[in-house]
Amino acid sequence: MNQALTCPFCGLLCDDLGVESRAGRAEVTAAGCAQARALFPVPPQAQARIDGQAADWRAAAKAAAERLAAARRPSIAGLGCDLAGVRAALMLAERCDARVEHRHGAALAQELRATRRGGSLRTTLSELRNRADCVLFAGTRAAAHPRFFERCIEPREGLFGARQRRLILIGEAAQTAPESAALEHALAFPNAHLAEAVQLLRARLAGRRLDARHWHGIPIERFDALAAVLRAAHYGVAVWDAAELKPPHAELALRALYDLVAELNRDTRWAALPLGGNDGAAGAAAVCTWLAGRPPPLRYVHGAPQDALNADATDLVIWISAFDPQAAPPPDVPAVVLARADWRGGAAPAIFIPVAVPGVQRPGALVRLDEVPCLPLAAPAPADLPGVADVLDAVRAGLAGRSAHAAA
Amino acid sequence: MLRLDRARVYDPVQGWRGQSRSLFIENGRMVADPGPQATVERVIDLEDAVVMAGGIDIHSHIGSGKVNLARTLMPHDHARTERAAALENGAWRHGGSGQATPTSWIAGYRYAEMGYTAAFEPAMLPVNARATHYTLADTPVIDKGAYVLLGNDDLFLRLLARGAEPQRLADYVAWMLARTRSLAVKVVNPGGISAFKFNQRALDLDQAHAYYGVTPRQVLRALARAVHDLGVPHPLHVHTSNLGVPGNVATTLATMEAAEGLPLHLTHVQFHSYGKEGPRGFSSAAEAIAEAVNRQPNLSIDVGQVMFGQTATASGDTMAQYANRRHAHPHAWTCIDIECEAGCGVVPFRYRDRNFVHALQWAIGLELFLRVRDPWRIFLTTDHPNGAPYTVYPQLMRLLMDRGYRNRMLDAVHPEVAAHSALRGLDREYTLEEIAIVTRAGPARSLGLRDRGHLAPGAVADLVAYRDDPDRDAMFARPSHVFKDGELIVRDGRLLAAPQGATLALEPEFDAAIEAQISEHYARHLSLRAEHLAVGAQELADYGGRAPLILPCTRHG
Ligand code: SF4
Ligand SMILES: [Zn+2]
Repeated sequence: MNQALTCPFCGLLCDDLGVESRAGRAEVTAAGCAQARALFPVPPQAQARIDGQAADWRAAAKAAAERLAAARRPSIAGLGCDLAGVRAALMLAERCDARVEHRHGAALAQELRATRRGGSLRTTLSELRNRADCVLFAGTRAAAHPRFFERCIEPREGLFGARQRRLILIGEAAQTAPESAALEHALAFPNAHLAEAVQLLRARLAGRRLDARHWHGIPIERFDALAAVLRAAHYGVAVWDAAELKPPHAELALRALYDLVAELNRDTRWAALPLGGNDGAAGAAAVCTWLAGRPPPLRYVHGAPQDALNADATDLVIWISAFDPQAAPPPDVPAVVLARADWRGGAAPAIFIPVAVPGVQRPGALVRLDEVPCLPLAAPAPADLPGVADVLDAVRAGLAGRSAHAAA
Repeated sequence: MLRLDRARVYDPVQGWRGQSRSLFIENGRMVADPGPQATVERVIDLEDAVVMAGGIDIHSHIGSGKVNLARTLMPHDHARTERAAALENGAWRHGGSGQATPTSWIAGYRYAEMGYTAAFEPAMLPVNARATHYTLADTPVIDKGAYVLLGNDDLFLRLLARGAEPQRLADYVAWMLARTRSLAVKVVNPGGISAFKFNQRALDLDQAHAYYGVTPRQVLRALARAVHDLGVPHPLHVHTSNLGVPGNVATTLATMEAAEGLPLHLTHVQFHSYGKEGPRGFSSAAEAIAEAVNRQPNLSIDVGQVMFGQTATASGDTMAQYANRRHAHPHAWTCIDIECEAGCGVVPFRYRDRNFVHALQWAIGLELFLRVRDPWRIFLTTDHPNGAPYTVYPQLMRLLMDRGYRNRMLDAVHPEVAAHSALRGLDREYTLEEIAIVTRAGPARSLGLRDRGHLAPGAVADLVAYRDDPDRDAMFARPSHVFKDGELIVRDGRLLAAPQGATLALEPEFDAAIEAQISEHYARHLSLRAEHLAVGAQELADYGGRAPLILPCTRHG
């Protein structure tokens, strides 16, 4: 049995899983959550197809290169893969002036815009687990990260002794995981009002007078009581998940939360822990930033990277989903799908190339949702499938001499 | 075999001071003159260009996660982009962006185009080691390596607080060095990054950490001793307490003494050479610092020169960077407490020549360069990107070599700086030999790179030819030839090829008991396993880099 392997199936990258290979399929035998147990078993083989016809993956990559060369506004999207896959995607995009986006690019962009507009104090999972005596859940119950409570909140016996934690929720009340029942629902309101609520909290923390006695039916005293709790923390952590906050309010809410944290931090310690990073998003953001100067979405123009914040039309998408069998490419665009063998994310694409799942069938690396730890992925059930980077490199080789830009 | 004719070689290791000679290269290495019978396949006439070993940057933040954070906070820097293009040899030059925080592909090209063939990332967190090495693998042409950041992690602080034996601490340091593929050990604000997590906002050299009770002096001494006992060639690389604080000269001088004769390298000392005299409460203390360096042969420094313009400051020192946040330009900053291990803080910054403090910082750096007498113990850095991006090095070399130019620039900055700095009175001008020491021979010796930084037979054939020009800025900015491992990679400042460089690392031994203790600590308390910090040799090669080149862990004379 393989001890302590990293799970790639959400941004937490739990690295304590036991995994066994049975008849070529990985099975989680220790630790892990339902999501991990469902996603580790992946078939060792699947058929590559060009327009529905069975083909060898190299032939499929060649066909993909031909279509890519003919495309005028190609995009490489989904980007659910390991660091090497993202790197290969950028090298390919650079050759054919493609757009590069991640499935969770909207959340990445919201986070980016918020952090570019002021200060941000952040923290990481181990700090939260060992230090936090107050955790403010802002519009989230961390449902997209199944073991967040188990790994970061429930361990009370930390490095610095036993810890009582206040767990406070503000925002939407939607119930999900049973662990989150421990949250005190201090202020209940729709997430679209989060920015406003946090501004109000900041105003009361700053001692500003208010004429109103209520806000959306909540007495102002409730804000004051919450402010007192936050201020009393020794090490407070504000948690949110940008994916659960919708534009146009999301960015304002994130900015307000960062400001709240910075203000609380003047006297005591506070920091933020934005959740996210699923489908390799944190790794994609990291690699795109070190190679292209910005997280996705981005685009290449004459082989130079640029921001690509506005979605624009595309006439061919290379859709990458090595982790999620259900991630669907955008509709109505011819698609070349590089995905795990059991992918079923929609109608048969123009070209399908099964790829090895990093962390299950092939080694690799990913960045955890708190952006600093970078963890290795093992291959407990190696398969005779190419990696995402192998396929993208083959497409790039097939492109050589074809695109006007490469010939220039 | 390749022969280079008419090379005016400056190689301080061999005592060569610019006499014109021929050089011989075979299989990527320098070889002795093989005599007239030897077959020479290729001859290049260097036309009496000034030739030196390839430049070596001992302290440049090109690989760590904090530089990536800086990139995201500096969209204007990344609005300036570079196109991808095919190179002459059919290889590919990737596109990229950024001046102060260049993306990694173009960071490597720019070093090479300037005649630098190695650069070292000085602040690698163990939990970020994998990403750092991948980023360095994506930094082409140059050789690279990283210093592991220790001294603020809770395991080390616990061991120290409980009075662990020096041998135990050395095992711990060895484990971290070996597993994270590091070349040296750095400590930043010893204990202070951890103290900030306990809401301490300052920590002086003899002030106790609120939780562990240990002082920065104890942290420093324990690490310096461990590094020394392990035979790590480079001394403990120290970013002292009180970064950037007026009056911090006292702390810096006390830190120098705290080593009690053990070797110590103090980094970006410019940021630690401030007095608080004068009407603005900010003054140069470069003279006192330089005197202390001159007096204590166990010390070396790099400067962290400030040059004017937009850049980003990126440091592990959350305590200092949090205090600096109000100076952010543009107005965005980030500080992170990291994994019971360390932290990082990024504050974009614009140094203005008409600002008294910034201009005095500039003068203080130059004063240090001119006042420290032994060029083997002072290295040329801007602490890229903290003082300025490394692309200013040619201009900095001119400032050191050309007094008239230096004084003209002094005349142009904030008018009170000339009065508050002794810079004008320092008439030293660096010679080419001294430049060769502070930019290659010295750093190579300090890092234990025995076959780099010089051109004796057996040395790696990393070398650069500059057309002699009284305008030293122009001369150093655009070498006529750069060779990496014997291959001509730059001609007239233009990249011809972009080979992958080596990653240099150490592999000191440690007692197996420490591995068990570290594993237990991580598994029990942290949100990741210690064994996952380890960066494999094969994985670097799989990602596109090269398996690390392991250097011996023994100091040389
Ligand atoms: S919580 Fe996320 S990383 Fe952890 S086991 Fe479940 S899916 Fe995997
Ligand atoms: Zn530095």
